[in-house]
Amino acid sequence: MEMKLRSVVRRIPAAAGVIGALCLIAGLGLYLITSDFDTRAQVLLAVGVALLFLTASYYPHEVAGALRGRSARYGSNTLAMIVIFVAIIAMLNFLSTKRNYRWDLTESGEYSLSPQTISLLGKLEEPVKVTAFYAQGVGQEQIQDLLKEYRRHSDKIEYELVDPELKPGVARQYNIQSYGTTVVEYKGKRQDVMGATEQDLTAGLLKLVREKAPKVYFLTGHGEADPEGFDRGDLSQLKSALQADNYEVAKLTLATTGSVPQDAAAIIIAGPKTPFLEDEKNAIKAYLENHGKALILLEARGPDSLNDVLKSWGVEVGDGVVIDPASSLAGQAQVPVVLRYGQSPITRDLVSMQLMTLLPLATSVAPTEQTPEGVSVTGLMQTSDRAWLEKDPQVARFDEGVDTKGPLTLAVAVEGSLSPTAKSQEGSEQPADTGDGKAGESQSKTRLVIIGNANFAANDLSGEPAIGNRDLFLNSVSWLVEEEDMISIRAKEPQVRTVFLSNEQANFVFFTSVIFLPLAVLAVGGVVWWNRR
Amino acid sequence: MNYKLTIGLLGILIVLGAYLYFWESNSGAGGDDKASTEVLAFKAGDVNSIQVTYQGKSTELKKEDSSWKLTKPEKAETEPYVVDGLVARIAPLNAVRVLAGTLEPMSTYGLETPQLTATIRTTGGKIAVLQVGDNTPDGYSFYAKRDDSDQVYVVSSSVISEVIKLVTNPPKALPTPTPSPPESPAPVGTPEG
Repeated sequence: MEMKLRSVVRRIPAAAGVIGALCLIAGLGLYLITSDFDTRAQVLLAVGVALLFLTASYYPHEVAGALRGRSARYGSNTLAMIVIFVAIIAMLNFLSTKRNYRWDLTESGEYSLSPQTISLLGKLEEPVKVTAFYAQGVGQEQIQDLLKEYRRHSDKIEYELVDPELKPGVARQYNIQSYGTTVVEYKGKRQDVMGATEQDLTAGLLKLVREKAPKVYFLTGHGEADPEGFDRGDLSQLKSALQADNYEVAKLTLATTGSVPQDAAAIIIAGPKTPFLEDEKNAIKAYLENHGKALILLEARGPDSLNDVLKSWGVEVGDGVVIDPASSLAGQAQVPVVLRYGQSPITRDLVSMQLMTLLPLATSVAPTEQTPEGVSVTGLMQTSDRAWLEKDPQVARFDEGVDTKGPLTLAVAVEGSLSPTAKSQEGSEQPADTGDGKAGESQSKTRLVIIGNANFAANDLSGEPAIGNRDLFLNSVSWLVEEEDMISIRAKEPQVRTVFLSNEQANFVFFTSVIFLPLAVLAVGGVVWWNRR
Repeated sequence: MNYKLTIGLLGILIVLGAYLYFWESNSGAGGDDKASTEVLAFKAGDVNSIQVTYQGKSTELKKEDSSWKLTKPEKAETEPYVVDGLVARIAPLNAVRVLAGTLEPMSTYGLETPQLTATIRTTGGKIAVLQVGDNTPDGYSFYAKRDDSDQVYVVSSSVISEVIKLVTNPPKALPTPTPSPPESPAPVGTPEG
């Protein structure tokens, strides 16, 4: 009994040392978590220090030996090195916040200026004065980074950051009432921009560079996609994008107006589901023959009331749905993924950036065998060779002699003039002024972009930054109103990235990661085991 | 055991630290001072007198026997808790922001001729004079300073609005309603004749 008691008593100092260390850790941890050196932390630290001191005084020789020992010296040196190294890293990190250089390694160049902005900056004829009113710490760094990038690409950009609270006199001079306003001045005009993103700033600059906003009309009355609707199948996203590019957007019901307005820079027919009236067809025909510009998006198996108009311009619309098993969204052969583009300003950047476009439930749109005189038809997008145009709405299977074999053209650009005498007709409608001084210059040609799909432009697809649907639409409009300079890949909004895989890509990922790699590891393991037997 | 590496790292740490301390800390853009945001450092319970002048009019309140009394423009009792509530908000008074760096002239902030002056006195004999200038460009705050300092503060307009109300609508106590006398019974009419 006495022996047991002695044994317990002998262990108390060691136990006290352990408890003391634990109290020290607990006290320190409490302080770090609460950031408050309150009574509990103080008590724990005090108890910890006291217990460790008691333990040390009970074992003075052992403690002295440990501190002078080799392992203690090595350990202290190592600890010192670690602490110093961490401190150096922390200081370098702090220094990097003040002096830094960025490399944009993202695939879509999310942190670099878009080709559209760079193209716009290249068009500047006079200096642009940018004054950004940002209060301390609220978006200042973001706008400054952005303006530095703009300045890097054009020495015509002069910018100044003003803290409106520090300099209210300057803020009052510009009549600033909201912080986060950027004032852009160009050729004596001023545009106020709210927001510190590239899209905001470029849109503001566009409004100043363009003298007048071109007006595009969306036709209505036949079940077309609604440019003001926010449902998945509507076009509000593209409408906003057009407005951001400084287009004026309006709706047009031809049945009531009887003709396309004089101020129309282009009309957009977005997936009509019911046929056009004869008068409406005639109005469209007359508009096109009078150097009109139109973007026509057709639904597969949709009404064919415009087909003869398009045929007169050298375009044949298919009667069926495109099935492309070799180049389609994973498991969905009726959703072609297009990577084959024709030579056109509309698709130039899609090619250079290898951007794919998705056209769910598309039909074919191809040049007729004989192109009308004075007209050129250019294929814009093509399926793979294994695609076909499925005529049977029930079964997706290639039927020889019935279905049309690929490759199939999914979109065309038409340019030209059907009737040479149309230009000289007296009293004919004057070409619309696009506001860029080009009226009357190359307005003598009709331009058409016909795409065998309307869904590609809907809200659910046009907002995806990983695909080129939105750029295809916007570039088509830019080409139609003859603003080739504006044809570019737009600035991307930071979004959640969605991966789109074709069938082949999906199969590759599955088999390599789920089957081949694990099998390879097993095989290697088996070989090693066998050799070691 | 490589002490040289440890000493080398220590040398790098010292050089880096010196660079950050002497070079980077001095080259920072101005705009916000690290000075305290406390404009008035009094405790609410110590304040015993407030005088506010705004647009030529003046209001004075004094604390007597733990209750606030209006002494200017007229002598009157005040609404209970109204002045206490205001005093609790201005003593201590904290700024939304302290301006520093290259300031514009005081007239730009409206502080050369302040639109409002509030003199606060405490039981300990301390006095502070708060000068309030123009609104900030967004209209949500005012520029303010103490008369004994050139430090310019940005102060929330909700506090200053209450101070302005002391002048535009002095917190006089509402009169206590007096009970009306009971109605006497109507006399019975006597027939003529």
